[in-house]
Amino acid sequence: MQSMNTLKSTLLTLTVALIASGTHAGGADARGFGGGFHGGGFGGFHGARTSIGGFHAGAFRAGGVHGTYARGAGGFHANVNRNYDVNRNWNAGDYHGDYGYYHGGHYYAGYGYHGYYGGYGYPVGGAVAAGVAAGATAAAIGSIAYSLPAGCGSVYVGGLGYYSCGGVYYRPEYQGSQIAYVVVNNPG
Amino acid sequence: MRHTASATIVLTSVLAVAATVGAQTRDDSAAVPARTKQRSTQKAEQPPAIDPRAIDALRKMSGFLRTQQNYAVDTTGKQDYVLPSGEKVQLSSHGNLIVANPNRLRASVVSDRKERQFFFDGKTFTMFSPRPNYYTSITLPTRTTNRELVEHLDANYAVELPLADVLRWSTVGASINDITRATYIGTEWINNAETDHYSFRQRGLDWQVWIERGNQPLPRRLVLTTTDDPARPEYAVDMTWHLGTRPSDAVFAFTPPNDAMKIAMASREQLASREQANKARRTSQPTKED
Repeated sequence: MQSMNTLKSTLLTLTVALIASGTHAGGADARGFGGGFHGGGFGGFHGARTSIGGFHAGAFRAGGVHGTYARGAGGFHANVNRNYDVNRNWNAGDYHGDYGYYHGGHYYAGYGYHGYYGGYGYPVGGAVAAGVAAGATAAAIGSIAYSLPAGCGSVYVGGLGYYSCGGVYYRPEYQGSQIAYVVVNNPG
Repeated sequence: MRHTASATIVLTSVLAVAATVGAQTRDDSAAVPARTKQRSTQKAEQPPAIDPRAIDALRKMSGFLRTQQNYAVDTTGKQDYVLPSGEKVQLSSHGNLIVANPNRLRASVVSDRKERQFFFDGKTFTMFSPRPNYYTSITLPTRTTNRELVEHLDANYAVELPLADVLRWSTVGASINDITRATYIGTEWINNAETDHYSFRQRGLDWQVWIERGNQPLPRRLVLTTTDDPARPEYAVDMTWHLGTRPSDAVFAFTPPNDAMKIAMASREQLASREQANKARRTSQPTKED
């Protein structure tokens, strides 16, 4: 039992990409059945479908996301200091629950938007993930991270929040019900 | 990319096998000779793939739900996630759904790793994440119903509301067109309610529902098995129902907490372009911005 618990906690510790919820970011059903989503395959994980749907199969599939929605960066659990509340050092990996995962000594940051087709993820070189985690200016515009580096300040542009982290701007956004950070040009 | 390609090949194979099996099943059933003259026009005498009692039960359930203008459901759920190794891990959550038809709802899903709250006050939909203290809001056209909200969020933002099936059943009816098998399993007690247990199959999905017996045919448990995934991950949710109470409108309105940050909600178009950009990035230099 102890070993089970240990295994479980180890899994949960290492697999920070999991969400247990009735809703989650999920890819559209590319095969055209049902109204439900497959679980988004963040970090190589994919979840069970959580709805049957199927009233008007295909009717709401316009603009569906197909193929791999790749995570560009991320995978580390950077503590986030939101500048208006320096006491709140929450661990993004704990709360968002949808970040990269540690496997076999490497951080993987693959993110399959479609739970199935893309859900097996792919390893992103540590240099990329580490670069973003360190707030490197080399972070590519359009890269997607699932946690922020340390030392970010928030800015509002057009009524929406952004972060500036060592010269790199991140746009937090919901992708489905999952929170992600997209590297953008200076929104101001 | 290689992973994706091989996954697609595996999937294709699985689907091909599934299609073959399905075809055989139909052939077998058609080959069984009719036993009586009266039923000689029917294809089979063995238990039919679709038990009409199961379909009736779905219709009765959704018919009853449609008579409920106001209800709340407490949920406890378990969802499998599949590791790249093929191992399944199961995570738990709980939540609720509060509905005042035609156009008010509120829902939450809480796990140890994630919490989401959803508000729809008839005009504005808000999704709120208490721990990072983010929210996003969109304004819906006037007279948008709960049902339309479900589909709008699905179609435009890839957002699935909790118990989306209950919301669908309670506004339109049970979906039967996609069902290829329907079976009555038997009775079972679920959380002090005597229920009838049914199993259904449709493409890519086996699902079971336990419907309360008596004059309140409510779904008490729902189990979904994703069958187009070799690991066959499951999602299970138990429901506790509270009928007939309409909360005040304030319950459905969202007021941002202090310091909450309003953030964007990516449209499906944006999600697709992010995908494209990241694909391109993997093979060449970044070319696209937000």
